[in-house]
Amino acid sequence: MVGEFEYLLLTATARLGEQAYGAAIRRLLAEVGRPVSIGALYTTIDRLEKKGLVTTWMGEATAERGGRAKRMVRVTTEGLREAEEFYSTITMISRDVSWIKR
Amino acid sequence: MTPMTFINPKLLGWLASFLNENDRETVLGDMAEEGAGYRASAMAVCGLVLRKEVERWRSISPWLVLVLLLLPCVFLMVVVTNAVTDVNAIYLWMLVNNADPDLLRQAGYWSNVKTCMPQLLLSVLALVGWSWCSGFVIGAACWRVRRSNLILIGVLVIFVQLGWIPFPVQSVLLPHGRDFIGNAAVFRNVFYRDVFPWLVLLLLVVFPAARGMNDARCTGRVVGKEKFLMITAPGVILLALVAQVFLPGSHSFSLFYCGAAGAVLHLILRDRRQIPARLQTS
Repeated sequence: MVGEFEYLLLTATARLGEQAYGAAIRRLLAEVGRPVSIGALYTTIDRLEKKGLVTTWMGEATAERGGRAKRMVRVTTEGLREAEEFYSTITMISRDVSWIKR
Repeated sequence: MTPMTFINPKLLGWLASFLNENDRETVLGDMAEEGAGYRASAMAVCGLVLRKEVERWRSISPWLVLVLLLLPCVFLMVVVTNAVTDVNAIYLWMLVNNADPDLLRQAGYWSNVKTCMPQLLLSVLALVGWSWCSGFVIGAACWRVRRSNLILIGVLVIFVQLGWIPFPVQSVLLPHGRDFIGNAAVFRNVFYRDVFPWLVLLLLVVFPAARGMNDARCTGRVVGKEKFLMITAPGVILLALVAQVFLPGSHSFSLFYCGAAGAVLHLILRDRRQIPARLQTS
């Protein structure tokens, strides 16, 4: 099963869909209160790619990036399954605990 | 107002050169998109470089190379270097520190020079060859962590030379330490006692080891018998040098033989065109 931070990355990537790349994922995670360093982000993406949970490729270069390319990310079918499994486990274990709002 | 910083585009480019092309493109692009300054970009690049290096140490092979190759090599390199430099320091002291116009006119002096200089040269070649071989073997055994290994070699050489090593290790590998008895006049001189060994360690051990490690890159381009030879040949040379340390009666000629063999291997490998195209992989 994936870890908590890996789940966050998978979910952020899935939410961003076709627009998922490093800087966009970082922005989304910062918006939900989980800022992440570039180093942590890309080493985790590398690990997820090795596990076959995401695929990455170099996208187009844009002017706002100083003419540098983006590293695009997409969740694989296996990645979606793992994320779903993590979410189910968290949901099940969290049932009836005091901090869940009814 | 932008804070004063010593980070400039050149330094940032140098730091980013530790990343592969895609990672470099991605990180610098992300930082440009976020409008980050050079300092923040440099921190991001350093963070990624460090994390990637740490990730590479998550497998068993770098640890095996560290324990079975790098640590023994560094200890042996320092032991042999000290032995070689101390012997040569005595000859250098005799020839250089005692030279005066009267002595220079005597045939005996020049006879000594003829005897000592070849030995000095052989020692230099042997140390360079041996260090290059050590670096090559370590680099070929685990290319992914070559940068960490190079830093480790430098740090360990300093620690071992300063004697900052655990006592059990010291008692096995460095049982006698350096012996100045009988040559007190030579080693009273700070240069021969302290500076000379450090110079030799830096120029004839650490630099050639770094070069050997870098040259190990070409083992990734060959396969089969050639790859086996490239890795085992320096390994055999290393074993011969280990014997030089632990067997009595070791002398410069044997060291030179090993060093020369390493140098020949290096010359063969340096010319990448020698590697047949059929063996090259993309």
